[in-house]
Amino acid sequence: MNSISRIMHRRNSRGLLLGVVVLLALIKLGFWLQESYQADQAELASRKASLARYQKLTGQIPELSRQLRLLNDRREKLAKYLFTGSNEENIISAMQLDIQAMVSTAGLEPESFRPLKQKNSQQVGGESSALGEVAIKASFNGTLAEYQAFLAELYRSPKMYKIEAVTLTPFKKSDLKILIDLRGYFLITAPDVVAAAEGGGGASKPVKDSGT
Amino acid sequence: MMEALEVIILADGFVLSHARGRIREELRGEDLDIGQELTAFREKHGIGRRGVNLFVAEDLVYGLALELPLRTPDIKGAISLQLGLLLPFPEEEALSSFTIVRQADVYRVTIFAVRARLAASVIEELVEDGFTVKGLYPENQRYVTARMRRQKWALVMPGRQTKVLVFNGTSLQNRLLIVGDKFTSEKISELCGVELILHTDPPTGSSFVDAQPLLTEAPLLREFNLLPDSYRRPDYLKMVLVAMLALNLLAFAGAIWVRFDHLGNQIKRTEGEVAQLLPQVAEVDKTRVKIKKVEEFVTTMTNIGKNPDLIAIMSALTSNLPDDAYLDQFKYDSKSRLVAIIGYANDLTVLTGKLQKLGEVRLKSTTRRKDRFYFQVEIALHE
Repeated sequence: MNSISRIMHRRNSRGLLLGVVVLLALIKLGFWLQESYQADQAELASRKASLARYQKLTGQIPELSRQLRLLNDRREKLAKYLFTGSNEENIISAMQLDIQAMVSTAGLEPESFRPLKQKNSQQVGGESSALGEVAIKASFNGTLAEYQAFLAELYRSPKMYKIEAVTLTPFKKSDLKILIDLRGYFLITAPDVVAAAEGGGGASKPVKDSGT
Repeated sequence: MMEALEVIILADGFVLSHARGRIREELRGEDLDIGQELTAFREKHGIGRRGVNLFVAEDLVYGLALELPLRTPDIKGAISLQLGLLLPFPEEEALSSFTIVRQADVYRVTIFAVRARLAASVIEELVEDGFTVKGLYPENQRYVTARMRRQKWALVMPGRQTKVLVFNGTSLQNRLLIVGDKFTSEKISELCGVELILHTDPPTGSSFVDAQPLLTEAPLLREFNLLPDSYRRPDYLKMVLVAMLALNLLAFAGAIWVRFDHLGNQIKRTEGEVAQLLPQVAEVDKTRVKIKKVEEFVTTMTNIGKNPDLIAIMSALTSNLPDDAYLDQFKYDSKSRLVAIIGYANDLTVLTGKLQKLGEVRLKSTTRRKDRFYFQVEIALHE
Protein backbone atom coordinates (compact mmCIF):
# COMPACT_ATOMS: atom_id res chain seq x y z
CA MET A 1 0.00 0.00 0.00
CA ASN A 2 2.86 2.35 0.87
CA SER A 3 4.60 1.61 -2.41
CA ILE A 4 1.38 2.33 -4.31
CA SER A 5 1.07 5.57 -2.39
CA ARG A 6 4.68 6.44 -3.25
CA ILE A 7 4.10 5.68 -6.92
CA MET A 8 1.03 7.84 -6.89
CA HIS A 9 2.97 10.69 -5.39
CA ARG A 10 5.81 10.25 -7.82
CA ARG A 11 3.60 10.24 -10.89
CA ASN A 12 0.87 12.60 -11.74
CA SER A 13 -1.44 11.07 -9.21
CA ARG A 14 -4.51 13.06 -10.14
CA GLY A 15 -4.29 12.02 -13.76
CA LEU A 16 -3.59 8.45 -12.77
CA LEU A 17 -6.57 8.33 -10.45
CA LEU A 18 -8.77 9.93 -13.07
CA GLY A 19 -7.56 7.40 -15.61
CA VAL A 20 -8.25 4.50 -13.25
CA VAL A 21 -11.72 5.87 -12.45
CA VAL A 22 -12.54 6.33 -16.14
CA LEU A 23 -11.21 2.87 -16.96
CA LEU A 24 -13.25 1.27 -14.16
CA ALA A 25 -16.32 3.20 -15.25
CA LEU A 26 -15.80 2.05 -18.84
CA ILE A 27 -15.35 -1.55 -17.71
CA LYS A 28 -18.49 -1.29 -15.58
CA LEU A 29 -20.36 0.29 -18.47
CA GLY A 30 -19.15 -2.48 -20.74
CA PHE A 31 -20.30 -5.16 -18.31
CA TRP A 32 -23.62 -3.41 -17.85
CA LEU A 33 -24.14 -3.13 -21.60
CA GLN A 34 -23.20 -6.76 -22.08
CA GLU A 35 -25.54 -7.92 -19.31
CA SER A 36 -28.31 -5.75 -20.63
CA TYR A 37 -27.79 -7.02 -24.16
CA GLN A 38 -27.73 -10.63 -22.99
CA ALA A 39 -30.90 -10.07 -20.97
CA ASP A 40 -32.59 -8.58 -24.03
CA GLN A 41 -31.42 -11.49 -26.13
CA ALA A 42 -32.77 -13.95 -23.58
CA GLU A 43 -36.07 -12.08 -23.55
CA LEU A 44 -36.21 -12.15 -27.34
CA ALA A 45 -35.44 -15.87 -27.37
CA SER A 46 -38.20 -16.45 -24.82
CA ARG A 47 -40.68 -14.37 -26.84
CA LYS A 48 -39.71 -16.18 -30.03
CA ALA A 49 -40.16 -19.54 -28.32
CA SER A 50 -43.62 -18.43 -27.16
CA LEU A 51 -44.43 -17.20 -30.65
CA ALA A 52 -43.32 -20.50 -32.20
CA ARG A 53 -45.42 -22.40 -29.65
CA TYR A 54 -48.45 -20.21 -30.33
CA GLN A 55 -47.97 -20.49 -34.10
CA LYS A 56 -47.85 -24.26 -33.75
CA LEU A 57 -50.99 -24.16 -31.61
CA THR A 58 -52.91 -21.89 -33.95
CA GLY A 59 -51.79 -24.07 -36.86
CA GLN A 60 -53.88 -26.80 -35.27
CA ILE A 61 -57.07 -24.74 -35.45
CA PRO A 62 -58.34 -26.24 -38.74
CA GLU A 63 -57.71 -29.79 -37.53
CA LEU A 64 -59.26 -29.08 -34.12
CA SER A 65 -62.28 -27.43 -35.76
CA ARG A 66 -62.71 -30.44 -38.02
CA GLN A 67 -62.39 -32.78 -35.04
CA LEU A 68 -64.92 -30.74 -33.06
CA ARG A 69 -67.31 -30.68 -36.03
CA LEU A 70 -67.13 -34.47 -36.38
CA LEU A 71 -67.57 -34.95 -32.66
CA ASN A 72 -70.52 -32.55 -32.62
CA ASP A 73 -72.11 -34.48 -35.51
CA ARG A 74 -71.66 -37.65 -33.53
CA ARG A 75 -72.96 -35.96 -30.43
CA GLU A 76 -76.03 -34.77 -32.31
CA LYS A 77 -76.69 -38.28 -33.58
CA LEU A 78 -76.32 -39.70 -30.10
CA ALA A 79 -78.41 -36.91 -28.59
CA LYS A 80 -81.33 -37.96 -30.82
CA TYR A 81 -81.58 -41.11 -28.69
CA LEU A 82 -81.99 -39.01 -25.58
CA PHE A 83 -84.92 -37.16 -24.13
CA THR A 84 -84.10 -33.47 -24.19
CA GLY A 85 -85.61 -30.64 -22.23
CA SER A 86 -85.01 -27.83 -19.87
CA ASN A 87 -86.69 -29.47 -16.90
CA GLU A 88 -85.97 -32.85 -15.37
CA GLU A 89 -89.54 -33.37 -14.11
CA ASN A 90 -90.96 -32.88 -17.57
CA ILE A 91 -88.44 -35.22 -19.12
CA ILE A 92 -89.19 -37.98 -16.61
CA SER A 93 -92.87 -37.48 -17.25
CA ALA A 94 -92.34 -37.79 -20.99
CA MET A 95 -90.23 -40.87 -20.43
CA GLN A 96 -93.02 -42.52 -18.40
CA LEU A 97 -95.55 -41.69 -21.07
CA ASP A 98 -93.30 -43.23 -23.68
CA ILE A 99 -92.88 -46.47 -21.71
CA GLN A 100 -96.58 -46.55 -20.96
CA ALA A 101 -97.32 -46.25 -24.64
CA MET A 102 -95.03 -49.18 -25.41
CA VAL A 103 -96.70 -51.24 -22.67
CA SER A 104 -100.14 -50.45 -24.05
CA THR A 105 -99.05 -51.21 -27.60
CA ALA A 106 -97.73 -54.61 -26.46
CA GLY A 107 -101.05 -55.33 -24.68
CA LEU A 108 -99.57 -55.56 -21.22
CA GLU A 109 -101.52 -54.44 -18.22
CA PRO A 110 -99.50 -51.80 -16.33
CA GLU A 111 -99.33 -51.96 -12.56
CA SER A 112 -96.84 -49.36 -11.44
CA PHE A 113 -94.14 -46.95 -12.62
CA ARG A 114 -91.67 -45.63 -10.14
CA PRO A 115 -88.95 -43.26 -11.37
CA LEU A 116 -85.91 -42.87 -9.12
CA LYS A 117 -84.07 -39.62 -9.66
CA GLN A 118 -80.37 -39.77 -10.33
CA LYS A 119 -78.03 -36.86 -10.23
CA ASN A 120 -76.86 -35.38 -13.52
CA SER A 121 -73.72 -37.12 -14.57
CA GLN A 122 -71.78 -34.54 -16.54
CA GLN A 123 -71.72 -31.35 -18.54
CA VAL A 124 -71.76 -31.99 -22.24
CA GLY A 125 -69.88 -30.33 -25.06
CA GLY A 126 -68.98 -27.14 -23.29
CA GLU A 127 -72.57 -25.96 -23.47
CA SER A 128 -75.06 -25.41 -20.72
CA SER A 129 -76.42 -28.90 -21.10
CA ALA A 130 -76.06 -31.87 -18.80
CA LEU A 131 -76.40 -35.57 -19.39
CA GLY A 132 -78.68 -37.13 -16.81
CA GLU A 133 -80.18 -40.50 -16.13
CA VAL A 134 -83.20 -41.82 -14.32
CA ALA A 135 -83.91 -45.31 -13.04
CA ILE A 136 -87.47 -46.55 -13.55
CA LYS A 137 -88.93 -49.50 -11.78
CA ALA A 138 -92.04 -50.74 -13.59
CA SER A 139 -94.33 -53.69 -13.10
CA PHE A 140 -97.06 -55.04 -15.33
CA ASN A 141 -98.95 -58.25 -16.14
CA GLY A 142 -99.47 -60.07 -19.36
CA THR A 143 -98.74 -63.09 -21.43
CA LEU A 144 -95.32 -64.18 -22.58
CA ALA A 145 -96.22 -63.07 -26.10
CA GLU A 146 -97.22 -59.65 -24.84
CA TYR A 147 -93.99 -59.45 -22.87
CA GLN A 148 -92.04 -60.31 -26.00
CA ALA A 149 -93.95 -57.66 -27.92
CA PHE A 150 -93.05 -55.13 -25.24
CA LEU A 151 -89.40 -56.03 -25.50
CA ALA A 152 -89.58 -55.65 -29.27
CA GLU A 153 -91.13 -52.22 -28.82
CA LEU A 154 -88.45 -51.28 -26.35
CA TYR A 155 -85.66 -52.36 -28.68
CA ARG A 156 -87.23 -50.46 -31.57
CA SER A 157 -87.71 -47.32 -29.55
CA PRO A 158 -85.96 -44.20 -30.92
CA LYS A 159 -85.12 -43.30 -27.32
CA MET A 160 -82.45 -44.99 -25.30
CA TYR A 161 -83.46 -47.31 -22.46
CA LYS A 162 -81.16 -49.73 -20.78
CA ILE A 163 -82.71 -52.85 -19.25
CA GLU A 164 -80.94 -53.44 -15.99
CA ALA A 165 -82.92 -56.26 -14.52
CA VAL A 166 -86.04 -58.30 -15.26
CA THR A 167 -87.99 -60.58 -13.01
CA LEU A 168 -90.76 -62.86 -14.34
CA THR A 169 -93.06 -64.80 -12.12
CA PRO A 170 -96.19 -66.77 -13.03
CA PHE A 171 -99.36 -64.84 -12.44
CA LYS A 172 -102.82 -66.32 -12.43
CA LYS A 173 -103.05 -69.23 -14.84
CA SER A 174 -101.40 -68.14 -18.04
CA ASP A 175 -100.03 -64.72 -17.31
CA LEU A 176 -96.76 -63.43 -16.06
CA LYS A 177 -95.99 -60.77 -13.53
CA ILE A 178 -93.19 -58.73 -14.96
CA LEU A 179 -90.91 -56.50 -12.90
CA ILE A 180 -88.46 -54.53 -14.97
CA ASP A 181 -85.70 -52.09 -13.98
CA LEU A 182 -84.98 -49.64 -16.75
CA ARG A 183 -82.57 -46.77 -17.01
CA GLY A 184 -83.44 -43.83 -19.19
CA TYR A 185 -81.06 -41.11 -20.38
CA PHE A 186 -81.77 -37.47 -21.08
CA LEU A 187 -80.19 -34.11 -21.78
CA ILE A 188 -81.11 -31.03 -19.83
CA THR A 189 -80.42 -27.87 -21.75
CA ALA A 190 -80.43 -24.32 -20.38
CA PRO A 191 -83.20 -22.07 -21.74
CA ASP A 192 -80.78 -20.00 -23.85
CA VAL A 193 -79.35 -23.15 -25.40
CA VAL A 194 -82.84 -24.44 -26.05
CA ALA A 195 -83.76 -21.17 -27.71
CA ALA A 196 -80.64 -21.37 -29.87
CA ALA A 197 -81.49 -24.94 -30.77
CA GLU A 198 -85.01 -23.95 -31.74
CA GLY A 199 -83.53 -21.21 -33.88
CA GLY A 200 -81.82 -23.88 -35.98
CA GLY A 201 -78.28 -23.75 -34.55
CA GLY A 202 -78.64 -26.43 -31.86
CA ALA A 203 -78.34 -30.17 -32.02
CA SER A 204 -81.31 -31.19 -29.94
CA LYS A 205 -84.86 -30.08 -29.41
CA PRO A 206 -86.72 -29.99 -26.14
CA VAL A 207 -89.53 -32.47 -25.60
CA LYS A 208 -92.86 -30.88 -25.14
CA ASP A 209 -94.40 -31.50 -21.78
CA SER A 210 -96.86 -34.41 -22.05
CA GLY A 211 -97.98 -34.63 -18.45
CA THR A 212 -98.04 -37.85 -16.48
CA MET B 1 11.16 12.93 -36.02
CA MET B 2 14.51 11.48 -36.98
CA GLU B 3 14.50 13.65 -40.06
CA ALA B 4 13.62 16.93 -38.27
CA LEU B 5 16.02 19.81 -38.57
CA GLU B 6 17.62 20.91 -35.37
CA VAL B 7 19.04 24.31 -34.60
CA ILE B 8 20.98 24.84 -31.40
CA ILE B 9 21.18 28.47 -30.42
CA LEU B 10 24.60 29.24 -29.00
CA ALA B 11 25.84 32.43 -27.42
CA ASP B 12 27.91 33.21 -30.50
CA GLY B 13 26.24 31.34 -33.29
CA PHE B 14 24.24 28.29 -34.21
CA VAL B 15 24.63 24.60 -34.75
CA LEU B 16 22.59 23.27 -37.64
CA SER B 17 21.89 19.59 -37.50
CA HIS B 18 19.92 17.05 -39.43
CA ALA B 19 19.33 13.37 -38.86
CA ARG B 20 20.36 13.78 -35.24
CA GLY B 21 23.77 15.16 -35.90
CA ARG B 22 24.81 12.97 -38.79
CA ILE B 23 24.75 16.15 -40.87
CA ARG B 24 26.03 18.99 -38.75
CA GLU B 25 27.35 22.47 -39.32
CA GLU B 26 28.40 25.12 -36.86
CA LEU B 27 27.94 28.79 -37.65
CA ARG B 28 29.78 31.36 -35.62
CA GLY B 29 29.47 35.09 -35.81
CA GLU B 30 27.10 37.95 -35.27
CA ASP B 31 24.24 39.10 -37.49
CA LEU B 32 23.68 35.70 -38.98
CA ASP B 33 20.34 35.25 -40.66
CA ILE B 34 19.44 31.81 -39.47
CA GLY B 35 16.61 31.56 -41.99
CA GLN B 36 18.90 31.99 -44.93
CA GLU B 37 21.63 29.86 -43.36
CA LEU B 38 19.23 27.02 -42.80
CA THR B 39 17.85 27.34 -46.32
CA ALA B 40 21.37 27.05 -47.65
CA PHE B 41 21.97 24.08 -45.34
CA ARG B 42 18.88 22.38 -46.69
CA GLU B 43 19.79 22.96 -50.28
CA LYS B 44 23.35 21.89 -49.73
CA HIS B 45 22.37 18.57 -48.17
CA GLY B 46 19.19 18.00 -50.16
CA ILE B 47 16.92 18.04 -47.14
CA GLY B 48 13.21 18.30 -47.88
CA ARG B 49 11.91 18.92 -44.42
CA ARG B 50 10.94 22.38 -43.20
CA GLY B 51 10.10 21.53 -39.60
CA VAL B 52 12.66 22.79 -37.13
CA ASN B 53 13.26 21.99 -33.49
CA LEU B 54 15.09 24.79 -31.77
CA PHE B 55 17.34 24.10 -28.81
CA VAL B 56 18.89 26.74 -26.60
CA ALA B 57 22.39 26.00 -25.38
CA GLU B 58 22.38 25.08 -21.74
CA ASP B 59 24.54 28.12 -20.91
CA LEU B 60 21.80 30.45 -22.18
CA VAL B 61 19.04 28.77 -20.22
CA TYR B 62 18.00 29.73 -16.73
CA GLY B 63 16.98 26.71 -14.76
CA LEU B 64 15.14 27.05 -11.49
CA ALA B 65 13.88 24.49 -9.03
CA LEU B 66 11.17 25.50 -6.56
CA GLU B 67 9.16 23.83 -3.89
CA LEU B 68 5.65 25.10 -3.37
CA PRO B 69 3.31 24.09 -0.58
CA LEU B 70 0.57 21.64 -1.52
CA ARG B 71 -2.03 24.20 -0.49
CA THR B 72 -0.81 26.78 -3.00
CA PRO B 73 -4.08 28.12 -4.46
CA ASP B 74 -2.70 29.43 -7.77
CA ILE B 75 0.38 27.50 -8.79
CA LYS B 76 0.84 29.32 -12.09
CA GLY B 77 0.59 32.66 -10.36
CA ALA B 78 3.11 31.54 -7.74
CA ILE B 79 5.52 30.36 -10.45
CA SER B 80 5.16 33.65 -12.30
CA LEU B 81 5.89 35.51 -9.09
CA GLN B 82 8.97 33.39 -8.40
CA LEU B 83 10.18 33.91 -11.96
CA GLY B 84 9.83 37.66 -11.51
CA LEU B 85 11.92 37.46 -8.33
CA LEU B 86 14.61 35.06 -9.48
CA LEU B 87 15.25 35.89 -13.14
CA PRO B 88 17.91 38.51 -13.91
CA PHE B 89 15.57 40.15 -16.41
CA PRO B 90 11.87 41.08 -16.28
CA GLU B 91 9.56 38.14 -16.30
CA GLU B 92 7.65 39.66 -19.24
CA GLU B 93 10.79 39.30 -21.36
CA ALA B 94 11.18 35.62 -20.61
CA LEU B 95 10.03 32.52 -22.41
CA SER B 96 9.49 29.87 -19.79
CA SER B 97 8.17 26.38 -19.27
CA PHE B 98 7.88 24.29 -16.17
CA THR B 99 6.97 20.88 -14.81
CA ILE B 100 5.27 20.15 -11.52
CA VAL B 101 5.82 16.96 -9.58
CA ARG B 102 3.68 16.38 -6.54
CA GLN B 103 5.71 15.00 -3.72
CA ALA B 104 4.71 13.89 -0.25
CA ASP B 105 4.37 17.39 1.20
CA VAL B 106 5.26 19.86 -1.57
CA TYR B 107 5.01 20.51 -5.27
CA ARG B 108 8.44 20.33 -6.84
CA VAL B 109 8.53 22.77 -9.73
CA THR B 110 11.31 22.81 -12.32
CA ILE B 111 11.42 25.87 -14.56
CA PHE B 112 13.45 26.72 -17.62
CA ALA B 113 13.48 30.22 -19.02
CA VAL B 114 15.32 32.08 -21.77
CA ARG B 115 15.35 35.70 -22.80
CA ALA B 116 12.56 36.22 -25.28
CA ARG B 117 14.63 38.41 -27.56
CA LEU B 118 17.22 35.64 -27.86
CA ALA B 119 14.76 33.27 -29.44
CA ALA B 120 12.32 35.70 -30.99
CA SER B 121 14.59 36.91 -33.76
CA VAL B 122 15.59 33.34 -34.60
CA ILE B 123 12.01 32.19 -34.75
CA GLU B 124 10.93 35.13 -36.88
CA GLU B 125 13.78 34.65 -39.34
CA LEU B 126 12.96 30.98 -39.66
CA VAL B 127 9.28 31.66 -40.18
CA GLU B 128 10.04 34.32 -42.74
CA ASP B 129 12.05 31.78 -44.72
CA GLY B 130 9.19 29.32 -44.72
CA PHE B 131 10.27 27.06 -41.87
CA THR B 132 7.92 25.67 -39.29
CA VAL B 133 9.20 25.96 -35.76
CA LYS B 134 7.95 22.92 -33.94
CA GLY B 135 9.38 23.69 -30.53
CA LEU B 136 11.95 25.53 -28.49
CA TYR B 137 13.67 23.46 -25.80
CA PRO B 138 16.63 23.60 -23.46
CA GLU B 139 19.50 21.68 -25.01
CA ASN B 140 19.29 18.92 -22.40
CA GLN B 141 16.01 17.75 -23.94
CA ARG B 142 17.93 16.59 -27.04
CA TYR B 143 19.25 13.74 -24.91
CA VAL B 144 15.95 12.61 -23.46
CA THR B 145 14.99 9.60 -25.58
CA ALA B 146 12.85 6.53 -25.15
CA ARG B 147 15.96 4.48 -24.40
CA MET B 148 16.23 6.14 -20.96
CA ARG B 149 12.60 5.56 -20.07
CA ARG B 150 13.33 3.08 -17.29
CA GLN B 151 16.67 4.47 -16.12
CA LYS B 152 17.71 6.75 -13.33
CA TRP B 153 20.45 8.77 -14.82
CA ALA B 154 22.28 12.07 -14.80
CA LEU B 155 23.61 14.11 -17.70
CA VAL B 156 26.70 16.26 -17.30
CA MET B 157 26.76 19.21 -19.69
CA PRO B 158 30.00 21.24 -19.58
CA GLY B 159 30.00 24.96 -20.36
CA ARG B 160 30.70 28.20 -18.55
CA GLN B 161 29.38 26.31 -15.59
CA THR B 162 29.01 22.57 -15.57
CA LYS B 163 25.39 21.51 -15.28
CA VAL B 164 24.25 18.17 -13.99
CA LEU B 165 20.71 17.25 -14.91
CA VAL B 166 19.24 14.40 -12.94
CA PHE B 167 16.51 12.37 -14.65
CA ASN B 168 14.13 9.74 -13.49
CA GLY B 169 13.31 8.04 -16.76
CA THR B 170 12.40 10.84 -19.13
CA SER B 171 11.40 13.25 -16.42
CA LEU B 172 13.83 15.86 -15.15
CA GLN B 173 14.12 15.66 -11.38
CA ASN B 174 16.88 18.13 -10.55
CA ARG B 175 19.39 20.50 -12.09
CA LEU B 176 22.67 21.16 -10.33
CA LEU B 177 25.43 23.62 -11.08
CA ILE B 178 28.97 22.45 -10.31
CA VAL B 179 31.72 24.94 -9.71
CA GLY B 180 35.17 23.94 -10.93
CA ASP B 181 36.11 21.15 -13.25
CA LYS B 182 37.74 18.62 -10.92
CA PHE B 183 34.94 16.23 -10.49
CA THR B 184 34.58 12.60 -11.31
CA SER B 185 31.73 10.35 -12.29
CA GLU B 186 31.87 8.76 -8.84
CA LYS B 187 31.56 12.10 -7.08
CA ILE B 188 28.62 13.15 -9.18
CA SER B 189 27.05 9.74 -8.68
CA GLU B 190 27.43 10.20 -4.94
CA LEU B 191 26.07 13.73 -5.15
CA CYS B 192 23.02 12.84 -7.23
CA GLY B 193 22.36 9.37 -5.90
CA VAL B 194 22.33 8.03 -9.44
CA GLU B 195 24.70 5.39 -10.79
CA LEU B 196 24.45 6.08 -14.52
CA ILE B 197 26.30 9.34 -15.27
CA LEU B 198 26.40 10.42 -18.91
CA HIS B 199 28.55 13.20 -20.28
CA THR B 200 27.97 15.14 -23.47
CA ASP B 201 31.73 15.44 -24.00
CA PRO B 202 33.45 12.98 -21.64
CA PRO B 203 37.09 13.78 -20.85
CA THR B 204 39.56 11.19 -22.07
CA GLY B 205 40.19 8.53 -19.46
CA SER B 206 37.17 9.46 -17.34
CA SER B 207 34.58 6.94 -16.30
CA PHE B 208 31.69 9.01 -17.66
CA VAL B 209 29.39 7.30 -20.13
CA ASP B 210 29.28 9.04 -23.48
CA ALA B 211 25.89 10.64 -24.10
CA GLN B 212 26.35 10.89 -27.88
CA PRO B 213 24.63 7.52 -28.62
CA LEU B 214 21.44 9.08 -27.26
CA LEU B 215 21.48 11.45 -30.22
CA THR B 216 20.96 8.54 -32.61
CA GLU B 217 17.39 8.24 -31.40
CA ALA B 218 14.52 10.65 -31.73
CA PRO B 219 14.16 12.98 -28.74
CA LEU B 220 10.87 12.71 -26.91
CA LEU B 221 10.49 16.48 -26.42
CA ARG B 222 7.67 16.15 -23.93
CA GLU B 223 8.79 18.73 -21.43
CA PHE B 224 9.97 22.31 -21.35
CA ASN B 225 8.75 23.58 -24.69
CA LEU B 226 9.58 27.26 -24.39
CA LEU B 227 7.98 28.23 -27.68
CA PRO B 228 5.24 30.83 -27.13
CA ASP B 229 1.74 29.71 -28.09
CA SER B 230 1.57 32.37 -30.79
CA TYR B 231 4.39 30.63 -32.66
CA ARG B 232 3.16 27.14 -32.19
CA ARG B 233 1.72 25.43 -35.18
CA PRO B 234 -1.59 23.87 -34.40
CA ASP B 235 -1.12 20.19 -33.74
CA TYR B 236 -3.27 18.96 -36.60
CA LEU B 237 -2.39 15.35 -35.93
CA LYS B 238 -3.60 15.69 -32.38
CA MET B 239 -6.78 17.40 -33.56
CA VAL B 240 -7.35 14.72 -36.16
CA LEU B 241 -6.71 12.03 -33.57
CA VAL B 242 -9.12 13.64 -31.12
CA ALA B 243 -11.71 14.03 -33.87
CA MET B 244 -11.23 10.43 -34.94
CA LEU B 245 -11.45 9.28 -31.35
CA ALA B 246 -14.66 11.24 -30.90
CA LEU B 247 -15.95 9.89 -34.19
CA ASN B 248 -15.03 6.36 -33.19
CA LEU B 249 -16.70 6.80 -29.83
CA LEU B 250 -19.78 8.14 -31.55
CA ALA B 251 -19.72 5.29 -34.05
CA PHE B 252 -19.23 2.79 -31.23
CA ALA B 253 -22.08 4.31 -29.23
CA GLY B 254 -24.17 4.40 -32.40
CA ALA B 255 -23.39 0.76 -33.16
CA ILE B 256 -24.38 -0.21 -29.62
CA TRP B 257 -27.54 1.87 -29.89
CA VAL B 258 -28.39 0.28 -33.26
CA ARG B 259 -27.89 -3.20 -31.87
CA PHE B 260 -30.03 -2.46 -28.82
CA ASP B 261 -32.62 -0.74 -30.96
CA HIS B 262 -32.68 -3.65 -33.39
CA LEU B 263 -33.08 -6.06 -30.51
CA GLY B 264 -35.77 -3.88 -28.93
CA ASN B 265 -37.64 -3.70 -32.24
CA GLN B 266 -37.42 -7.45 -32.62
CA ILE B 267 -38.82 -7.91 -29.11
CA LYS B 268 -41.63 -5.44 -29.84
CA ARG B 269 -42.43 -7.10 -33.17
CA THR B 270 -42.46 -10.52 -31.56
CA GLU B 271 -44.63 -9.20 -28.74
CA GLY B 272 -47.04 -7.78 -31.33
CA GLU B 273 -47.21 -11.10 -33.17
CA VAL B 274 -47.77 -12.92 -29.88
CA ALA B 275 -50.53 -10.45 -28.95
CA GLN B 276 -52.17 -11.04 -32.33
CA LEU B 277 -52.08 -14.79 -31.80
CA LEU B 278 -53.39 -14.74 -28.23
CA PRO B 279 -57.12 -14.67 -29.18
CA GLN B 280 -56.55 -17.61 -31.49
CA VAL B 281 -54.64 -19.42 -28.75
CA ALA B 282 -57.58 -18.82 -26.40
CA GLU B 283 -59.85 -20.18 -29.14
CA VAL B 284 -57.66 -23.29 -29.37
CA ASP B 285 -57.91 -23.79 -25.63
CA LYS B 286 -61.69 -23.34 -25.74
CA THR B 287 -61.99 -25.75 -28.65
CA ARG B 288 -59.89 -28.31 -26.80
CA VAL B 289 -62.12 -28.05 -23.73
CA LYS B 290 -65.19 -28.47 -25.96
CA ILE B 291 -63.63 -31.47 -27.68
CA LYS B 292 -62.81 -33.03 -24.32
CA LYS B 293 -66.34 -32.58 -23.07
CA VAL B 294 -67.95 -33.88 -26.25
CA GLU B 295 -65.56 -36.83 -26.20
CA GLU B 296 -66.53 -37.53 -22.59
CA PHE B 297 -70.18 -37.41 -23.61
CA VAL B 298 -69.62 -39.74 -26.55
CA THR B 299 -67.56 -42.09 -24.38
CA THR B 300 -70.25 -42.12 -21.70
CA MET B 301 -72.93 -42.84 -24.27
CA THR B 302 -70.82 -45.53 -25.89
CA ASN B 303 -70.10 -47.15 -22.54
CA ILE B 304 -73.81 -47.48 -21.77
CA GLY B 305 -73.69 -50.49 -24.04
CA LYS B 306 -76.34 -52.58 -25.72
CA ASN B 307 -79.46 -53.99 -24.17
CA PRO B 308 -79.37 -57.71 -23.45
CA ASP B 309 -81.26 -59.89 -25.93
CA LEU B 310 -83.74 -61.18 -23.36
CA ILE B 311 -85.82 -63.09 -25.89
CA ALA B 312 -82.77 -65.04 -27.03
CA ILE B 313 -81.76 -65.72 -23.41
CA MET B 314 -85.24 -66.97 -22.56
CA SER B 315 -85.40 -69.09 -25.71
CA ALA B 316 -82.02 -70.66 -24.89
CA LEU B 317 -83.14 -71.28 -21.31
CA THR B 318 -86.42 -72.87 -22.49
CA SER B 319 -84.68 -75.17 -24.91
CA ASN B 320 -82.14 -76.28 -22.31
CA LEU B 321 -84.53 -76.93 -19.43
CA PRO B 322 -85.61 -80.58 -19.00
CA ASP B 323 -89.22 -81.28 -19.91
CA ASP B 324 -90.06 -82.10 -16.31
CA ALA B 325 -88.77 -78.78 -15.00
CA TYR B 326 -91.11 -75.99 -13.96
CA LEU B 327 -90.06 -72.40 -13.21
CA ASP B 328 -91.61 -70.22 -10.48
CA GLN B 329 -89.37 -67.23 -11.17
CA PHE B 330 -86.99 -65.97 -13.85
CA LYS B 331 -84.67 -63.13 -12.97
CA TYR B 332 -82.02 -61.51 -15.10
CA ASP B 333 -79.49 -58.89 -14.08
CA SER B 334 -77.84 -57.23 -17.06
CA LYS B 335 -74.91 -55.73 -15.12
CA SER B 336 -73.69 -59.11 -13.86
CA ARG B 337 -75.22 -61.07 -16.79
CA LEU B 338 -76.65 -63.38 -14.15
CA VAL B 339 -79.82 -65.40 -14.66
CA ALA B 340 -81.47 -66.58 -11.44
CA ILE B 341 -84.21 -69.17 -11.72
CA ILE B 342 -86.40 -70.69 -9.03
CA GLY B 343 -88.52 -73.78 -9.67
CA TYR B 344 -88.60 -77.54 -9.39
CA ALA B 345 -87.57 -80.61 -11.41
CA ASN B 346 -87.42 -84.36 -11.03
CA ASP B 347 -83.69 -84.68 -11.55
CA LEU B 348 -81.31 -81.88 -10.60
CA THR B 349 -78.33 -83.57 -12.20
CA VAL B 350 -80.04 -83.52 -15.57
CA LEU B 351 -81.15 -79.93 -14.98
CA THR B 352 -77.72 -78.56 -14.07
CA GLY B 353 -76.07 -80.64 -16.79
CA LYS B 354 -78.26 -79.11 -19.45
CA LEU B 355 -77.97 -75.58 -18.09
CA GLN B 356 -74.16 -75.79 -18.23
CA LYS B 357 -74.53 -75.05 -21.94
CA LEU B 358 -75.72 -71.54 -21.10
CA GLY B 359 -72.98 -70.64 -18.65
CA GLU B 360 -71.50 -71.35 -15.29
CA VAL B 361 -74.20 -72.83 -13.11
CA ARG B 362 -74.31 -72.36 -9.34
CA LEU B 363 -76.88 -74.24 -7.30
CA LYS B 364 -77.90 -71.84 -4.55
CA SER B 365 -80.36 -74.06 -2.68
CA THR B 366 -82.28 -77.28 -3.10
CA THR B 367 -85.09 -78.95 -1.15
CA ARG B 368 -86.85 -82.23 -1.84
CA ARG B 369 -90.58 -82.49 -1.42
CA LYS B 370 -92.94 -85.06 -2.87
CA ASP B 371 -90.26 -86.62 -5.13
CA ARG B 372 -89.45 -83.22 -6.57
CA PHE B 373 -86.36 -81.19 -6.18
CA TYR B 374 -87.08 -77.53 -5.53
CA PHE B 375 -84.10 -75.50 -6.66
CA GLN B 376 -82.67 -72.06 -6.78
CA VAL B 377 -80.02 -71.82 -9.50
CA GLU B 378 -77.83 -68.97 -10.79
CA ILE B 379 -76.36 -69.06 -14.26
CA ALA B 380 -73.51 -66.72 -15.15
CA LEU B 381 -74.06 -66.45 -18.88
CA HIS B 382 -71.24 -66.96 -21.32
CA GLU B 383 -69.95 -63.81 -22.96
